[in-house]
Amino acid sequence: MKRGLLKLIALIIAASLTAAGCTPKETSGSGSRIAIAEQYGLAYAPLQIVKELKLLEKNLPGTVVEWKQLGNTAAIREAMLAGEVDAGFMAIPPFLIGWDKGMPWKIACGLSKSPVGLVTNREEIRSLRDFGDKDRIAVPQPGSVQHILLSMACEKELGDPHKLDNQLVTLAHPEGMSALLSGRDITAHFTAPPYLMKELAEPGMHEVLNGRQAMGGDFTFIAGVTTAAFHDKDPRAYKAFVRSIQEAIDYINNNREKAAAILAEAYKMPEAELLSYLLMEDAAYTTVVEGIEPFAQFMERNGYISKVPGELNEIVWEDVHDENP
Amino acid sequence: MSEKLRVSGINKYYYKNGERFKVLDSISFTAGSGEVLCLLGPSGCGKSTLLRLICGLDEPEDGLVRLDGKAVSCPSPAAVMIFQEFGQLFPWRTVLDNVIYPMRVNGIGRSEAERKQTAETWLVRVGLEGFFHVFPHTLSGGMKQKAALARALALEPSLLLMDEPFGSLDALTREGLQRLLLQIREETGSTILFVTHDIQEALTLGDRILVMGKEPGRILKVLENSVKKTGKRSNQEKSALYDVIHNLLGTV
Amino acid sequence: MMRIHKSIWFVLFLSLWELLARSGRFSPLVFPPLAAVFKALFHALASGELLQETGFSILLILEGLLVGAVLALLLGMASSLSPLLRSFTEALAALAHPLPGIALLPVIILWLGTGRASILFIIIHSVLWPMLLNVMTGFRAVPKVLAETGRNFGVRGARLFLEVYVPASLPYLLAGLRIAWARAWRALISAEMIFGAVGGKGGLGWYIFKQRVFMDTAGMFSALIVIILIGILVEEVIFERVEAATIRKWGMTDQ
Repeated sequence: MKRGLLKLIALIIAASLTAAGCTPKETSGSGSRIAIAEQYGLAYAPLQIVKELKLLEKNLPGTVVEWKQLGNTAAIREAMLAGEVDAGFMAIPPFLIGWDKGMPWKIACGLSKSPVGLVTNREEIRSLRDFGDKDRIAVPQPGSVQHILLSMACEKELGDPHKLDNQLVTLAHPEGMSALLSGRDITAHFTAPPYLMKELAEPGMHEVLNGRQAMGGDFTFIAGVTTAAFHDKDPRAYKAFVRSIQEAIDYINNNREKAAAILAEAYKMPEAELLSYLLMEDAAYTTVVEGIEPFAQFMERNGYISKVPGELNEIVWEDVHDENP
Repeated sequence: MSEKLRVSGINKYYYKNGERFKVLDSISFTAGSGEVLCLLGPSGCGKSTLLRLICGLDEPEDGLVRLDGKAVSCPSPAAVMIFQEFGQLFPWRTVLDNVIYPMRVNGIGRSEAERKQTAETWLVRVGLEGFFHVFPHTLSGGMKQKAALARALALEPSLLLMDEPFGSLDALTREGLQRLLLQIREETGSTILFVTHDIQEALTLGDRILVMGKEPGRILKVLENSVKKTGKRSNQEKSALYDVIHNLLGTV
Repeated sequence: MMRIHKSIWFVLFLSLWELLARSGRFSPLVFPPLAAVFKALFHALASGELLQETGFSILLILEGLLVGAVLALLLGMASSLSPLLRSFTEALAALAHPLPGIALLPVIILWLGTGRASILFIIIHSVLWPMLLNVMTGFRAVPKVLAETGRNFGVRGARLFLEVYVPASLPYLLAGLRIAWARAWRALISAEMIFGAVGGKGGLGWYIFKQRVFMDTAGMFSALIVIILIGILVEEVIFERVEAATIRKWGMTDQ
């Protein structure tokens, strides 16, 4: 009995150590596989173009491309940590949180600038000052770009970045939208397209604050981030990845109508509506990265991260265009 | 001896697959105050059903049950039933509390202390001193039936209904309980309706014996139990009566 | 003996954990060493934050359990009074029972918003149906002789339910409560992970989600430890004791 037990234990330990040896998974070392994680929204539009035009397959022949649409940045980060995903797309604040905690990753490219805004269903709310104790504001999650932008605006307008923290409710975009439209406890929603436009199209909704006001300037909304493993082990694949993103962005910028047709299909939206979005002033697709420094400084000042990057190359790979070096 | 119970013209049916079967056919009899009346019959003759009707747990299609002159329509502590099942004690109450609880429900006794005293007296009387504070599942079958008897007696019922209460006990225990029941009857003058299928038991306990037949359940004969009345231990007389009953039941 | 065996496995499991964490094969972001987890646990407890969140969750689940159990008892009583009511509650239970509470969330947000009321609703939903099914089975399984003895003694109406049917079906009710607790506890943690106030209290699930978002893996595990401890406390200690003090003491477990 005792002997049997010991044997069993030894077996289990041996098995788990062997199993442990298999992880983290070998990823894309041979260039045969590349896994990319994105979220849902028009800010990720160039990725749809990469998919539709098979740009990665063209730039890196023989590669199997695996696309994953994940629900939130935390899931993408965890997938990248586990070696399941090589490249992920996200906003700068969640990227910085991961970097601060020691995630082995850097920014490879910008992807988009996007209008983001705080939409309310209450007529009398014209600025952040008008929010009362009873108001509830939906944001995708704490530490998200929406949350950080709102905190930045609170710091500017109300003098306290945490002023509205107790009134924030975490809801994914679709739930946030239905909660706002249902007119119950949620009275405002900080969101991005297409939800932003859908909400503003409803009667009685208006925008209190937009991203540019909150930030005090332009910023990259979504950036492409790759793991160090992917970047270091397979420079050819990494370069092909960055080139494909650049080509997709160029395609959108040079062929708006054709791009709108492709995207309308992917997003199940009317083509005209999509085109009008592509032409919006605040919406832009570019690999240039903007706004890292103001985000980092604000987040460090308010305890969301413990340090600001000293050198830019601590957080971006080589060849990345940055407006505020 | 005044009349305690009058059962008149009872018909009872049960229904199975849309068909109607007669369980009890024109049952009429009376029981006098202080009498022990045994309902004796083979299984399936409806004697338990009859007892349930008298208790008010079931209703007959025809006929009437009168207890102390009043028609019985629903169960009440005026006629308390003691079942054959050992599980009739509330398992979540101690033996003592099992006796006190129905007294409390019916407002018997002026205070909780008085109820407790009455309950203890009855438990001692049936031989359960030292078992007041245990839970029923720790008792033997015979002790459980004794506790049920004490619980019933504490309610001072007008009529005690006993549905083969000793049927699941071993012979020795059964005899002890039969003796106990008779002694208590002597002391209290209780009126008892006792259902059994055991001729010996009927001869030991009953002042009169109602012999029942089955399909449908009916009264075959009402016998004065001369054996018990005279108190004679004449085996001859006893076996004669035994044979009479045995023949009666054998013709069914 | 059983207990000793369990704790041997427990120690073994913890050592294996530490071994894997120290093997250097994993980033501490994936597999934090035990020391880091316990340090995070200590800090979270010392700061009072974890305790507050735990209190929030426990209060919520107690409230939900109480309301759900009382509703189940009332519905169970009603349905044992008339066949019509019974078929009604059975139909209702058959529809609602298979629905995981969390699947109702989008609808609940529309109806009740995102506050405490919504989580409470999910808990009550998780408690009510399994509890109701057990109440109904339990009432049906009450030995006839006990019910008739009670009626014979003149116990009627609500009193008959509370003083005879409820104690007589207690093994079923407790079993139902165990299932209800397990379902409600899981539903609560999942619901809390989906929404909560960023700065305010949101319960243990919310605490885990926050640690996840800010990538504090050790902090996440420390909250998991609290969840495990509460689970053990409730199932192995509280339910065990209640059963020992009632149905086992009364010899009702082998019914």
